[in-house]
Amino acid sequence: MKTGAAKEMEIVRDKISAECALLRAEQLRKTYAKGETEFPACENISFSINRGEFVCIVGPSGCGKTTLLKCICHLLKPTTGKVFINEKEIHSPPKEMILIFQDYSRSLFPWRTVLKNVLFVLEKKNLSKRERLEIARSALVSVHLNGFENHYPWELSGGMQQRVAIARGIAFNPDILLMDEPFASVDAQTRSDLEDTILDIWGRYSQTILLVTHDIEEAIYLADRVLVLSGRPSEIREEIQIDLERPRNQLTTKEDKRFIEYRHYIYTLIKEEGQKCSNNGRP
Amino acid sequence: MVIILWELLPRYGLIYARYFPPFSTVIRALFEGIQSTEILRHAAISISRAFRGYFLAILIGVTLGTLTGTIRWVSELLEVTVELLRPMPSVALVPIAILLFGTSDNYNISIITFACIWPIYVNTFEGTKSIDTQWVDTGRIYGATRFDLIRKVIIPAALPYIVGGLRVSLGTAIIVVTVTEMLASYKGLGFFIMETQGAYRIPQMYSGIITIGVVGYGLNRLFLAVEGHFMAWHKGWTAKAI
Repeated sequence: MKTGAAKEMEIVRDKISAECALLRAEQLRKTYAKGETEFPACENISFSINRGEFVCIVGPSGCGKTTLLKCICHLLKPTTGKVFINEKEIHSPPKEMILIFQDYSRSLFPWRTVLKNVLFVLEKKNLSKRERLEIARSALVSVHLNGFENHYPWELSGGMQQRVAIARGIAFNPDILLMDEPFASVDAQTRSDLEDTILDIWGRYSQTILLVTHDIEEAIYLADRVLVLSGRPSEIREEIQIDLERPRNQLTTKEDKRFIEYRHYIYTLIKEEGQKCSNNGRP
Repeated sequence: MVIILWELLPRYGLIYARYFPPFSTVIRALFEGIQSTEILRHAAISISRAFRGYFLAILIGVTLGTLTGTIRWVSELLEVTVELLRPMPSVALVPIAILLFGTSDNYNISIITFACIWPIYVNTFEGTKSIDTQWVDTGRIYGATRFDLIRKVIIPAALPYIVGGLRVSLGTAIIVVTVTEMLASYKGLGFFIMETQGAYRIPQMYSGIITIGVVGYGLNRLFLAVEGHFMAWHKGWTAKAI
């Protein structure tokens, strides 16, 4: 378990990983201005993620997690700070990275069928029609939705709609998947299924995944590394390496002693951050 | 009910039969008009003019509305002009159109287009502004260019709003084609009605009027059928949302 004490090790490791980091954020800061006053959402966010890693970000509610993700993929321009992919700075949503939104009902197009929604992301790629259909269909198979190609999104349940959104991500085949609390809007049972689905997909397609969640157990269950955010304005409070065996299992992993220790530690951190927020009266 | 009154009241002299001939007389005139193709020819001309004006209005209205709704400086540029032109009754522009186009089809079409643009433009403008930004964000994430976004995301998303404008303008097109033909055309149903009225061919006049009503009704049904096909997703989606 990492504590603040091994700072030296931290610096050395950061140097090494910065050399081969796939995604790197440097001093990201986003403030919203309302008239004369400024509302900082994120401050001084810096981290790096290596190829093939599964990293989760947790933080107290309202600390700007969605804003952070949108800044990382440049849907929103950060006020200051830079993002690098393979050490090249990005200025607009890059093709190596996609974001899966929390509210799936607002990102699937209701005028297109499930299959056509997935095909949408392939339309710019230089492929034949047959190839596109193959890729779209196999993406839907990966999320176990192969019977529902000609349904409309609103005809499906919440969990299924989110799976379509994930299938779109698979079909597009980016290097980096950003996910914004993707399982927050579904029931607990569906959430466990989707967690395992995403691990399965990660195992098969080896993308690099950065997933934001408010659910501490989910973060520990899924990740190689967990970044804990402070309260608003959010900074990275701590990085925790998760040393649990893979493949993870909903029962055995969560009963592991270390899982419980991680959970205890991170929960305490987040509680502290939440307290600080309300004590300072910050928004 | 109306038909029965229409038939009986003139026959019994309760209303002036010269100006209000019995329904059966009108129907006979209608059939004669169809058989001699006189009415059909006029109807075809009116429909053709109405459609040409209508589609031109769709082209301009949707394009302008989309540009205004998606690009901010366009909206600022056009705002004043639009607000000044919109309240102008299209028929007030008839003298200008006659000077420009004489009594050719273009005269009718230009006025129809002017009248039909506004509902389409306003609805498209409002529609493209009101769509869910997350759809646009999704498009951007997956690498859509601005043009792609407009074509594949913004317009399909705004279509439910645009359709409202299309429906209103269809009715406008029929009204305006009739009026312009009455004023200064020598072909078409509007002209036919005025001519038969002047020549005291009263049953024929009514047959022309009925024909316009039928055309309007028919076009509306056609519109609803096309809308039903393309907007089926919208009905399902809004039903689910409730």
